[in-house]
Amino acid sequence: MRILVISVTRNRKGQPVRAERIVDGEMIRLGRGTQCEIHLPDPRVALFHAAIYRQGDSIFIHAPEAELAVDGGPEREARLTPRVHIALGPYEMTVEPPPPGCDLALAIELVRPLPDDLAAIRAKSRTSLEATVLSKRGPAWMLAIILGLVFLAAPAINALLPQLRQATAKLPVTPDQSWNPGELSAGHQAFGHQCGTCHETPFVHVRDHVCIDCHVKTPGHVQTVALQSKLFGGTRCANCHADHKGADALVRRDPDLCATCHSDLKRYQADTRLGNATDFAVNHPPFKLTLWQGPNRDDVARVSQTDKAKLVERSNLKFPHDLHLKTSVRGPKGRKTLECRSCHIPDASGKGFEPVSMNKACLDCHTLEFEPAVTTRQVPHGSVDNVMLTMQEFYANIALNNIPVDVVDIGEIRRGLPRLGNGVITEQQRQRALSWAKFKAQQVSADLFEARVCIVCHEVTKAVIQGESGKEIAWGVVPVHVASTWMPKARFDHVKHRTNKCADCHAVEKSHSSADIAMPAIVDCRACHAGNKPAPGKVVSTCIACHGFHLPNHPPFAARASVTTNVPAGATLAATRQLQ
Amino acid sequence: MGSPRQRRGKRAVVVLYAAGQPGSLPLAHQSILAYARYRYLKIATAAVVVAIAAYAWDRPPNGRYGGTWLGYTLGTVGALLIFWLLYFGVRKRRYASNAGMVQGWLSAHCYLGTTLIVIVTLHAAFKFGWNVHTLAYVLMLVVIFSGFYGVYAYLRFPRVMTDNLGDDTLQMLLIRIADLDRQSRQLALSLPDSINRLVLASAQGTRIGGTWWRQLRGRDPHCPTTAASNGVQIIGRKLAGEQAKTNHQLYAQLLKKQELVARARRDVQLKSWLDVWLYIHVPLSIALLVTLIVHIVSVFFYW
Repeated sequence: MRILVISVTRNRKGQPVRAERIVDGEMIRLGRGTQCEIHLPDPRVALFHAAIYRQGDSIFIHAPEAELAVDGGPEREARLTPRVHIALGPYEMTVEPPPPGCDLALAIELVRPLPDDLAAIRAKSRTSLEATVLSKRGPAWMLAIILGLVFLAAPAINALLPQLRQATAKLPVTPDQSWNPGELSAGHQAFGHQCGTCHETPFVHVRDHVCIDCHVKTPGHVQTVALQSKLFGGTRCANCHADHKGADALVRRDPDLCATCHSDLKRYQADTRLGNATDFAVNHPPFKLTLWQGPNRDDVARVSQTDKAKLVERSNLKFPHDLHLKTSVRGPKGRKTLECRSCHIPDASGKGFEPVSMNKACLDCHTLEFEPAVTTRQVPHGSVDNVMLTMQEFYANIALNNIPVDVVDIGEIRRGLPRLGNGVITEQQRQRALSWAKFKAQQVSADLFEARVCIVCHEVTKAVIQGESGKEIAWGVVPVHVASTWMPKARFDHVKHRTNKCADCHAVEKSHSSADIAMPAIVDCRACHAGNKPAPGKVVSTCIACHGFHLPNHPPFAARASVTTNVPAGATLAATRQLQ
Repeated sequence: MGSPRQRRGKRAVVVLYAAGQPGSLPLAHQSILAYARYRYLKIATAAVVVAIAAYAWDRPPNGRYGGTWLGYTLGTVGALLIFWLLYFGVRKRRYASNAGMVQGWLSAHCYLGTTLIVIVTLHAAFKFGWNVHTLAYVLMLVVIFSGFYGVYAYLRFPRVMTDNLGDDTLQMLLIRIADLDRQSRQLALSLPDSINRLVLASAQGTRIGGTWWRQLRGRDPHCPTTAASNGVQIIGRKLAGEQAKTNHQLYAQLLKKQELVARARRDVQLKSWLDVWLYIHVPLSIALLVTLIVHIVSVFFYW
């Protein structure tokens, strides 16, 4: 068998270049191996790929273990006739009409040469992260857009469109929630998700009227509206009350705030009578007590504890503490030892005390019997008229009903009592009986008011007036003013001090007059209370421990808006700066 | 001598030149951290000390927070620093600019960026919450700490890369691998098909790098070259004569290729380790920029 093998290559222009050679043999092998008659040096070709052999008049190609593609279809074997195309690995073979003397003409071309190794490995290899899906620009843009939309555009649009704001306020999380820099104070949390409640206008501080709309009755700091405006006219509520700092952080507790003014009060108000105070331990004036001076209810004076001569309590009540605090005091029901709490009963809060009441505290011992022979009857405490009426009723009853008043009566009561007959009494008899009763009441009242009962505790007045039946004595009791507190400018919680005895602060055991005032002096408080700085064995006590800024009964800050004062701009500004 | 700026420039060039020739000059080992005798470390330390001292000294009446005078000051300094540090990203691309050496900028970038941890924490006065302000803070910390990794990477990996590559470059390795492939294929032509297939697969299937995960991992568990060298060794035991000799040559070449491939992969791995942090550092820097602007706007929007 003689085969013309035409090796087809391509020149630079891509045109075929044919190199022919004759291969002879019974069986022509094709393969990668050098022993093959038709050597196809390509790794994609098997070592021995196929063989061409003659069978009868036909010539066949057979690939025992490898694969051929004959006219596009996979085959193991094929008959080689002209124009048959056989793909063998990357080679394409075309059967051509054999020239004379040859049995077969086979054009072989490497149609799929191996790619350049370097180019191939370069193409396959990605040797930098830049060549992978990772990107810096993409995520950067994405993050910038998402963050800008969620955290800037959405909250800003929400804030600027009131209708949208109202709609989103019902959502569990509002768009501007992410702007909240910290927990709101407890009282403001109820509307905390509606930022616009306080933050009305973008890029403008929260204005005072927002606070005052709700806190309309919050009192101010000083007594007159004019002075308040002068001192605090330029100060915003938020200068002191900065919110978003936690549930209980809205109230300032630092003594420095107070000290900004109270270190030199005359600088702000030249005629002030208040002393300077910056630190309870080292710079605080002696306590001042509020003492009633009379005659009107509001006639009070503030008296320093150092001004001993003026430290006089004008209660119009006679009460010697020393007598009452003796052990085993004799009373109508036997002997008894009184304690402070026998009379001073803590109020519901425990911070202070209920007013001492005659009926609760005194009546056990200080009975109001008026008729010595009748120990069970007493006059009511309070109104003089009621006292007189009670006595008249008592004696009238005796006179008209002919009642035996007491087993020990030896006739004293009835002396002068007109005798009444049994049965129906005449008008004349009735008048006589009533007249006697009135006389008797007058007679006993002198003893009651002036000698035996009222006079013991009260200042009693006596006046002669013209009554229905001639001149009568009108008794009077001077109104009592027992102070409920002597230090209304400070807060004091008796509950917090219950580890102490009453006498530790109130030295009343030797007080024999109700004019005495037994309030502790600053030195007594300082025994336990340090000032702004810690001290061994003492409690740190800043201004706010005892004092408040918004003082009861002072005009509210809201009032300042309506007041115009001639305040030097510099003074207000300086005060404001210090507050900030 | 030229202007001071020019002198600085010349000196820096010497630094860079010397850095490429270890031991040639005392300046050779100067890293970005030691730049200009730790100039920026000193500046950063001073800034931190001043910030802490001011924070300790300041007793604002409403408590420490970002809205006090010191808070605003620290916040402004922090924000300006962040803007300036972000500008570094723009600056380092302008090689024509002579506003200072890139190395100097980088040194300042590292040290002054680190001071933000203190300055901004003091600005926030340790108060954090679930809000955009803390988001900005967290982003800043992630950016800074990714930057710390970056500094570590820049100081460590170039040397490891040099050790790995020697006088080669990745391109040279690839050329040598391609050359070995060509030779191996040639040798395998006369060897059994099973070996030939392995060699062909090794030449065609071996890839350096690949996905970001494969680059970071630095190896291919299904590497055709490893499979080929193992296979060639096992199959070659059955061969004899000339084929066995050829096979032995082929095996030696495949082993050589395997070593080159491993080195190339290690190089790609180290380069990816050197770069990967930037894929966090850069996008989050931009996110930080946006969040910082949101922070500033929102604070004054609801003043």
